[in-house]
Amino acid sequence: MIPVAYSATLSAALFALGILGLMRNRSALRMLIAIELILNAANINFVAFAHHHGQSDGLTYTLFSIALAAAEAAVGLAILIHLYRHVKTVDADAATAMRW
Amino acid sequence: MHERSGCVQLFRPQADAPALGSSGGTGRGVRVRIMQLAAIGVPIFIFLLMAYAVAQTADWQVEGTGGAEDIDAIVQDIFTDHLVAFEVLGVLLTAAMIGALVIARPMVSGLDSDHYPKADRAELERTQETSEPTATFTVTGPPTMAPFASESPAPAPPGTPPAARVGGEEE
Repeated sequence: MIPVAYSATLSAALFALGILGLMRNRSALRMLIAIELILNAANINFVAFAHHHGQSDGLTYTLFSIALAAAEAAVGLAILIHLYRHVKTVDADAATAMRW
Repeated sequence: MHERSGCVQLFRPQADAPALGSSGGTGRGVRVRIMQLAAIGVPIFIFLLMAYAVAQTADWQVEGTGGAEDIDAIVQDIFTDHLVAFEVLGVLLTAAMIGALVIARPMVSGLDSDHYPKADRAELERTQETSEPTATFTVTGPPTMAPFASESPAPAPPGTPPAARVGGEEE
C-alpha cells in the first residue's frame, strides 16, 4: 500500500504548481487550467486520506468536488468566450472595464 | 492599448520589463522584478511548508485499513447521509450549464450589442458569421425515414466559414 505521506506530498506539489501557473500566466485559459490543477490536488488529498482511514466519506466529497469543478470550468469558459468577443484576446489584462 | 491596472499585473512577465541581471534601472522595473520573483517564490514556499508538515508527521495516528474501495458503501453514503447535497449539486450543475449557455450565446443585434462599444461593420459581420449556426431547419411534412444504404451525407452549405481560432499570445 502506498504510504499516505507520498500522496500528501504529491498533492502539495500539484497545489504549488497550480498556484505557480495561476500567478505567472497572462492567458485566462491557462489560469483556468491552473485552477483545475489546484482542485485536483485537493481531490487527491481527499482520496488518499479516505483510503488510509478506510472510509468512503472522502470519496463522496471527491465526487462532489469533481462535479463542482466541472460546473466552474463550464461557467469560466463561457465567460472567457464572451470576453474574447469583446476584447478579441484571452489576455486577462485586457479586461479592465466593467460593464456600464 | 488597454490601460494596465491592478497588482495582479506585476506578477506576470511583461514585454517592457528589464532582463534579469541587467541594470534596468527604474524603481518600478525593480519592483516588477521583485514581484515576479515572488510569484515563483510563493508557490515554492507553499510546497516546502506542506512537505515539511508531512515529513514532521511521524505517526499518522490511524493505521490504514485500505477498505474504501467498496462502491456500495459510496453509493449508500451519497443516497443517505449526503442526499440533500447530491440534489443541490444537481441543481447547481443545471444552473451552471444554463448560465454558461446564456453567457456564451451568439450576439443578437439589438439585444447585446447595444450595451457594448460598437464594433466596426466588418468586425461585427465577421463575429456573427462565425457564431451563427449554419444549418437551417424547415418543416415540410411528416418525417420520413430514408433507407440507410441510400443515405448520403448532406453537403456543407456554401460559404461555410472555417473553424474560428481562439487564442491569445504570450509575450
